[in-house]
Amino acid sequence: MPRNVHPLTVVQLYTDYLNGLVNGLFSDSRLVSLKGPAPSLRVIACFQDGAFKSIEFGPAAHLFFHQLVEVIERPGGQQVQVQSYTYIFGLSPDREDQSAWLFRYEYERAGNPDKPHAHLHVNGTHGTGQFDYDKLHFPTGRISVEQVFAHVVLEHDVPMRVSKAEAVDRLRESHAGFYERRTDLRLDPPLFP
Amino acid sequence: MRAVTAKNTPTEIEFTAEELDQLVDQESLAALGIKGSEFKRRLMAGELPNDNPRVREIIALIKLAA
Repeated sequence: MPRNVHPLTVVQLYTDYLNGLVNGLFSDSRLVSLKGPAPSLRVIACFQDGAFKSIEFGPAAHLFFHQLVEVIERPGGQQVQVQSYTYIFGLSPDREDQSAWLFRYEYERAGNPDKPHAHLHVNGTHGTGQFDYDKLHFPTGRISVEQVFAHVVLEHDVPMRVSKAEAVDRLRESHAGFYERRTDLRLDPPLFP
Repeated sequence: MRAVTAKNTPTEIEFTAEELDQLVDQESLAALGIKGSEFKRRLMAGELPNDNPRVREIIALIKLAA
């Protein structure tokens, strides 16, 4: 069986930070990092009882959170670099159900010539029937999970543990930190398409 | 389904390569109805749908085992 390990790693600090946001604002849902033989890679997700689950927003909404991260050695110390993310907002009481999704944000640092590095899918169809929005990759900048949380707070009326104003303030502050920590703006070539 | 909360869930869970193989099996069956070995074959052959988030999750698990 998988073992529980508790080294105070930079990934653990990052995961704890994310859990602080989730547990302070929404629910007791818990993100964990999954570690295998690959020394520098981790998956961060809700993983309980041997299965992937979602961050719970009350009884009928949830966010499936999945990041593949790599620990990078920098002159100032170790840093967590997100290699890919998937954030899927769903409207279902079942935290394992990914079928009742409304939108899906995705990002791949390595990129793919067929689609934008960071993009949005929407679960819907154009009125003419010509376009399935879930098949289209609407380009976005790389977004923070705080931006997704703020959207959920402001537009989906999910139950929260603090007032809406306090939640948005906390998320704004955390989002600013996301921009301060990002290295791809300084070190990587501009992302296209 | 009953909502599950997990304040006591550990922050980090370590898997051996064999345990990750089992998880890849489990997730491949749930997502595509195929075994992990077939998932890996299709991955190498470029036969997997590239827009399925479940596929991306499983590929990430395979990377953890590398």
